[in-house]
Amino acid sequence: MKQILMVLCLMVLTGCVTTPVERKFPEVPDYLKIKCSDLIEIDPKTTKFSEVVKVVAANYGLYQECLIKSESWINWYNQQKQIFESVK
Amino acid sequence: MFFISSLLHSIWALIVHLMVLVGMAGYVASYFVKTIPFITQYNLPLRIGCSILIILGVFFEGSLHNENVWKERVAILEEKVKVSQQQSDDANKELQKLLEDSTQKTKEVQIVIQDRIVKEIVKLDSVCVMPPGVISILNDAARNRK
Repeated sequence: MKQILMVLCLMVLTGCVTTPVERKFPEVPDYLKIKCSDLIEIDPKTTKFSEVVKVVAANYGLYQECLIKSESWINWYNQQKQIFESVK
Repeated sequence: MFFISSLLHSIWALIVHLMVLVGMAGYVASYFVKTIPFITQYNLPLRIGCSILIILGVFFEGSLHNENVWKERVAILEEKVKVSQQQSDDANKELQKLLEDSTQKTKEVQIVIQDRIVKEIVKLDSVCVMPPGVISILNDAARNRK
């Protein structure tokens, strides 16, 4: 009886076909793995107002670059998520 | 590997088709066996055997069909995955170009601003006196310290 049951189970299981399609969320590209630069510090010995303004303006520039990187990250994630989820 | 797998699948499909055909043929033949003397006693076992063969054959036909349906679905999905990978690569390239362009523009703006500082602010150096503590405050803010 046990043997018959085993054979029946095997027969039923032959109908179970596992056909997985492996999918991975894409790797982050290298150009997005670069960290934002540290802000520039002013030379403590300087007495020139223009030197201070130069450093402050340069730091604003660094912020803008970092903002672009951050926005690129968000765009990359949203685009890749949309592409990834479009395959069903 | 794919060839071997495909060959084995074809052989298995052939066996399953033969099971059904032989089962049906045997079952029909069992009606004629009844009329032939000497072998009439094999009629019942032949009919039972052929019935089992037909049942098994039909079951495996279903299994084969199911497998084929899944294989088709997998093929469609694999094609979609391939297309999505291409889309993903294209989006990456586009984004990289956008990032490089934007960074370049920021650097260009910085050059213009540094030039303006030289032209417009340097002349104020002799007039403006730096209040004590300003540099320290700005540096602490840059380092994010209290």
